[in-house]
Amino acid sequence: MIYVEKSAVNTGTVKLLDKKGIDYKIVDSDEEFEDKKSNIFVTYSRGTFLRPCPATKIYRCCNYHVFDIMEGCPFDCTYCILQSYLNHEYIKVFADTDSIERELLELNEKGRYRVGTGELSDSLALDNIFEFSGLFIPIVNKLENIQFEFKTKSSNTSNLLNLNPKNIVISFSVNTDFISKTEEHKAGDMDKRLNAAKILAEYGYKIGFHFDPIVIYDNCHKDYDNLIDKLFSSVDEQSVEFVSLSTFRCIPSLIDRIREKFDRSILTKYDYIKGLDGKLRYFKPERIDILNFVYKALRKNWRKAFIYFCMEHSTIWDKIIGYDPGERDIFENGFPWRK
Amino acid sequence: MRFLTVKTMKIIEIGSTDKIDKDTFNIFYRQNSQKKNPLVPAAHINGVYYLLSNFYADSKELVLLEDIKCFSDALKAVIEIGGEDYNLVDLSNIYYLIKKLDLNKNDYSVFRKNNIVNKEQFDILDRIFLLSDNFKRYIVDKDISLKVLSIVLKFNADIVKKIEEYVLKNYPSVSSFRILVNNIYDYKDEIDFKNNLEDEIERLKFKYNRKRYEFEKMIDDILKIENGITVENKNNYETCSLNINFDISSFEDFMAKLQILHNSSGKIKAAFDILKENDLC
Repeated sequence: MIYVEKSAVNTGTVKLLDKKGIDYKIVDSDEEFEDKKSNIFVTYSRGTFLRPCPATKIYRCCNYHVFDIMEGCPFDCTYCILQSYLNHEYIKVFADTDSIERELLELNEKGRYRVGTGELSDSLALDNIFEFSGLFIPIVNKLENIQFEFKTKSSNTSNLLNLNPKNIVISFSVNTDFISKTEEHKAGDMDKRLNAAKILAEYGYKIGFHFDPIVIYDNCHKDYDNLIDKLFSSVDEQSVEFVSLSTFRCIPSLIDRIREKFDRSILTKYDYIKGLDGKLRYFKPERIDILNFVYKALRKNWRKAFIYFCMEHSTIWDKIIGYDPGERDIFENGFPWRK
Repeated sequence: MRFLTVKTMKIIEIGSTDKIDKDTFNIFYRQNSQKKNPLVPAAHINGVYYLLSNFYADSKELVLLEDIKCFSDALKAVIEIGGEDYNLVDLSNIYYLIKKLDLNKNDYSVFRKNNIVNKEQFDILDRIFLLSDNFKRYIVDKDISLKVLSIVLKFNADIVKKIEEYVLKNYPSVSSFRILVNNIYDYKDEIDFKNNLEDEIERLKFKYNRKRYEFEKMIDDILKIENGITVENKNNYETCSLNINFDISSFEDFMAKLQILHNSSGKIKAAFDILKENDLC
């Protein structure tokens, strides 16, 4: 059910709901409905939408910027940090879309940036309702310096086929069938995600893939190899803008949250080490082993695509790829958008 | 939300033909801590005198709260008289009674005061009610949290029974209980409950963490150096470094320890070789 806060009633977002004949209920606050994933709360503003993706100097991070138009996600992945990060289960949608263009224009003036909406939500899971793709893409395509990424686990991509793909990357979180089926509850089927990637690549969009989180389990090497073969047969390398690789890591409280919320998960079986940033991670040799495997498997066919490790130690870059990408802005120069 | 305000009360003497119900509103698990109170408050509903507190008193006199005419108000009175300190078993009893008497749980602030607000939490209360008396006693005695119980009560009945048996036999501390519950959650599909539970958990932990545990054992064995000198990596081997620690009590002690370290140079070399072999240096 969609609940609209009184202050958001006259916004374009709510007018769109009216136009599409989608039911909603007007409320004074989020205390008037149950806090659960199937509820959507349309509120006015979060203040500033745009911010740099949180990073640490200890592990290598790029200079990605996030645009928080939504908080929360209809999918229910065991590993999702939002379970610990947000103080609500429902999905919050910010309707103050008038400031979107201003904030992107300001960033455009500062230099060349990559921006996306997939940090605190899935960028496209609710695109059939709120059509944020239709809002962002015409704005971004007028700007020279902004590349905009829609990151998703869905195949809810039909709106994109009526829009100009110029400065846009559609990226898909990908994982093995085992992880997708056991840990990514309610998320889109992996084959459907890859089929959507294929259609969008053919349409002209740049495509990104996020192997995140890579999860270690018996036979995971074989499963990741199979997944990579599917990627090769779905999308040509020339359409691939980037591929990110990262093993599972989390704040310590997430493991207990998983135990409280889900019946079972492969993620709680491992005795993680505490990393230099306080997050739990796989023991370093095991991270190196699986990252090296996935990297090499991708390089068999995609020799030029930009492949990067998200939040990994410089020594792991060195060991696997042979160089240290440096800190944020220097790291960022590795992306095709900055070249 | 409507709070109870009793305006009138009187002391009555009960006769042998009066119907007295001492059990319906006895929601308290903490019988032993019930205050020794000579007054026995009661409500008269549908021809029956319901005791509202002091349930085990053997008194011929009751303090009749005359304003209370329905079960809903009676339960409010019971909760108010009972004080502030409700454990999870008490709350499960209250919730059970609310459902049994077809009352509305939203009329009772005791749940919100104890941070029980959503359906999942009320479902846990439902399941606590069905636990054995011994298990309930352990939960109350150790003040086991709702979060931990939410994990336990998702297990199937056979596993809950095994945990109950373990608890009664070992009466673990709160932290040991939490670790046990976490371990059972993690490996429940592979634990052979016919075997010793702790051995099974150990076996499965090792199965999933073999690479790290074997590495740690190997390097710890190598880095054992005598005379209180410890060599360790302080960041779980995220960086290629070893930290050497020792205390000295005199110059002679310092020289002796340096000599021991010098004699241990083969061990340090072997440790760095292992770090390299494992891609850690």
